Amino acid sequence: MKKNGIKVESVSFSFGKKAILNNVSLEVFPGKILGIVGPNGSGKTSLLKIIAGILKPDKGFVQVDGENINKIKRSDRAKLISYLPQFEENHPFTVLETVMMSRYLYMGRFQIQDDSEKDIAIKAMSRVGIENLSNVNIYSLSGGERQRVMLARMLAQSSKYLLMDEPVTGLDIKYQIQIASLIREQSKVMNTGNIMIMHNLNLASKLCDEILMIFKGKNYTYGIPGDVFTKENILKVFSVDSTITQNFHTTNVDIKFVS
Amino acid sequence: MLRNTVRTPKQYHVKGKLIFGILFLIIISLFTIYVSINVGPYEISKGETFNFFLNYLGFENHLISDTQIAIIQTVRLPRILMAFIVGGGLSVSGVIMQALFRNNLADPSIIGVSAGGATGAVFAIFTGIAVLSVWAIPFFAFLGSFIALFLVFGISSFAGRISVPTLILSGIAIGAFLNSITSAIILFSGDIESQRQMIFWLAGGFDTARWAGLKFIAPIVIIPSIISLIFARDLNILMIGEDQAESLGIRVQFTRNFLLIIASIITSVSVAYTGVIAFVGLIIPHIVRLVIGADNRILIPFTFFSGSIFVLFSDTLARTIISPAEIRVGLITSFLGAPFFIYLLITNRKNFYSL
Repeated sequence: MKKNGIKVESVSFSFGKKAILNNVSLEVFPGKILGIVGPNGSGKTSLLKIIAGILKPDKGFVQVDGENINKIKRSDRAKLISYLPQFEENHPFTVLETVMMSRYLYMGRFQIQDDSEKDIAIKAMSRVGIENLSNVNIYSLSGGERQRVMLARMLAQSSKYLLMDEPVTGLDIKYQIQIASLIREQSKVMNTGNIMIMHNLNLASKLCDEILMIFKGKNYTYGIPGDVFTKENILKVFSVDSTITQNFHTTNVDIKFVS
Repeated sequence: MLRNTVRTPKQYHVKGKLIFGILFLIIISLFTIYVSINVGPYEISKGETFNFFLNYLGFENHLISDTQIAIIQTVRLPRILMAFIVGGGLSVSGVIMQALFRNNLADPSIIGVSAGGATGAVFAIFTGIAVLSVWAIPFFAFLGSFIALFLVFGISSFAGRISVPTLILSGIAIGAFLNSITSAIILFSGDIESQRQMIFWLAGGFDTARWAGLKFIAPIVIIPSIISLIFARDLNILMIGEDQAESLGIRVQFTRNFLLIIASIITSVSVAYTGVIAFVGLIIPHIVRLVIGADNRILIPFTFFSGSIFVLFSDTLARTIISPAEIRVGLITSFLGAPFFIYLLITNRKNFYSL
């Protein structure tokens, strides 16, 4: 039987002489959400780019459904894995044009228009609440709206695995909750495997099935939120004092930061 | 809400509108070509031009004199087609450069190609090689362009990757350096006649266009333009960001280098034969983008024909308004293009973006 899931095995990576990642491993299966947390500069984004196949690891490997990510044909890889970068985009395209770009994968090179493809894009846009912005230019949108355009494009890519670099950062509280439940829904209904970098530890605790805490480019702890988010771990990795409340009947915790 | 007051570019997602738009531009093109054949110091009426084409198609008639046939055949037609093709090519090259560099100021001359061509051309005139063959100036201009290109690419590439900011900056630096050499050559050239010839070349023009040059240039401009159309959707994705493009299945480095080379070939060949036609590659893409939107799959063909029409129109003006003398076409493109572009900037102030 074909293996399912993303497997990252002992990945090391450096930029020139600067070591970024050292022997990081993780695994995520369809239908699950893995959260990556860690302080700034701990190598989270590099790790996500390596999993997406954008950067090549110096040591170790990434397997997707049993195949090495760097050996998969690019267009097939894009249908398998989508990647949401951290930085907001600025370009002269309209919202619909931007979202349609992930449907190019499913269209002929000279196909300019396809109603069924357009329907998929519009549907993805309505899931993040931007369907009424269809013909508006990206450069006239706010940061939060742009973030949702990028999310819509990722949903429209219809890939099996979603990699997200801080998907809810920059969104107001309503959309933070809406996008979080959308990601949850996507994982349950469409059975996608998800890896997301998060800064909000409480949201990560509620949303994710598993948490990987990275510190100085290494796996610090890896497991269910209740085991990862302890007073000791948060103090060591983030240098912040906190009180932790275990929620009954769930794996998640409430974290209160003490200043 | 502010957003409602922002005018969005019209959507051309409907195939019918796209085909209609291209057909419209082709009709305008043919009309401009037809009118351009008629006008000039030697009188040729519209009916006579029509008869010329009838003759051409094999319907023999004698309603047009041999002199008129000769003028259309050897002087006007090659010049008109040259202006048309070079105008389109420079504009497409501008679209590619602006998209790749994501910079509003990018135009075909930004990577030093035009400056290199100019240095090569004045060198050929200065040394007297230019009198040996009609191909001498284009050859040296082409050589100059390519030397500039190699320098700029050499400076900005490292281990197979091209750094875009370095490319733009080194292009500007090499361009400034070569321009100083060009000026020095013009100054030190004692001969007034060759100085005049150099300045004439620098202003750009199609007066030397003949079939031999056209047959050489047309494929080198048209084929890369068509290839760029094949890569148009990749160019779209490249504009949203490198990582995103990579994750959408684009070979970012390869595609970018390939398209850069395509645009450079178009520009250097055009510059080599016609001199520096100012402003076309910068403003035509902006104007067309304001009207039809940024989708390169539509923008590239629309820009080609718009640039063609604009340059042909400018050249026709250049050779007729002070007939029998001529103004250089580069002057007309700037003189007409700049005010129109400023008008568009003012009316679209809210709508302008940073690429």
